Amino acid sequence: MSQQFTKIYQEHYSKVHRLCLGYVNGDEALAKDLAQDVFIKVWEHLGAFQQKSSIGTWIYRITVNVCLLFIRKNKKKKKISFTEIKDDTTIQEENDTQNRLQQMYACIHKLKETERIIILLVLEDLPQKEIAEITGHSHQNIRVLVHRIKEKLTKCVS
Amino acid sequence: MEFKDIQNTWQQQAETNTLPDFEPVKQQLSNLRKKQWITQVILGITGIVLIAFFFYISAYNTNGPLLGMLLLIGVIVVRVFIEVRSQQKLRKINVLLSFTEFKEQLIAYYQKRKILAFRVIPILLIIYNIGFIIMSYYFYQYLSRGFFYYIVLSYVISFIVLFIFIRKQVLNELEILKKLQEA
Repeated sequence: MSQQFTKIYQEHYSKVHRLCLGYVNGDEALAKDLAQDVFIKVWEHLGAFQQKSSIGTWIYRITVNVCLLFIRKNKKKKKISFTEIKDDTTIQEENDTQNRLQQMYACIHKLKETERIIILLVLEDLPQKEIAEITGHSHQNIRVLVHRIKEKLTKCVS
Repeated sequence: MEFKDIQNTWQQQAETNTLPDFEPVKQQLSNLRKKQWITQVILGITGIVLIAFFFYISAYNTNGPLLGMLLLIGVIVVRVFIEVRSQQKLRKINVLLSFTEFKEQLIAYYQKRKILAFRVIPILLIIYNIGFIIMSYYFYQYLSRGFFYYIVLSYVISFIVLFIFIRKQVLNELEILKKLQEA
């Protein structure tokens, strides 16, 4: 199991970390802690993986639940000022992307917990069928929700 | 800006180059399990010893300072026991459930915590105060006035601090419940 876990850890850490980063408003340290919690759960439950879904979907399912558990921790994080981001005109292209990301984090953070989880899975380019499987919503329901959250996010980031 | 652009920006994020070493985490996890097991054993033994001691000294017949002391200690032990059990229940919520089912279980957990906060804890606090009142009767008889007032004042202050702490914790949990229900 150890070898299997190591392989999974190496293959999926980046994606899990990125999703966690989006969930915690871009806070690197918190994202790292969350990703670690996710892989602790993966390690503990790997024996229960039944291959009904892909390992990726299975890990995302654990990730979103661990993220929801994070709600009980006090989320104190310095807020990124929008004005600060927008006024900075001297920055280069690389910094532009970084700032846009920060803006996206802030917008994602404004969403409700379920919306946040769904949009993060959409951003990761997961098919709606898989998102429905992970969240437990019907495919139809997810389609409507995704459309609504996409609009919300686009409006906020623009 | 189109959503596609947002998604592109998201996926352009640099992948984390450094993969944290998981081996120390495994070690910590095994130590944590040992500690949890030890905590449970200690709590169990403490509970048994207290109950045995209660009957051994026939505290239920004496109405004396021991009864007061046992009430005080008993409340603390019960409170710690409830907290440990509650934490265990939270850890046992299955992370393999779908997000919706997991959220429902989490809501159910925090609803139980709410009942605990508004029904069980007030009763415990009342018993705790009864214990102290019994004790203070004997303090008044056997201790100097100065020391008696010192004990009473210390108790009142520590009780207020404890009450503020519990209130803060309860408000925090109610906020979590509200957020989960809104999500």
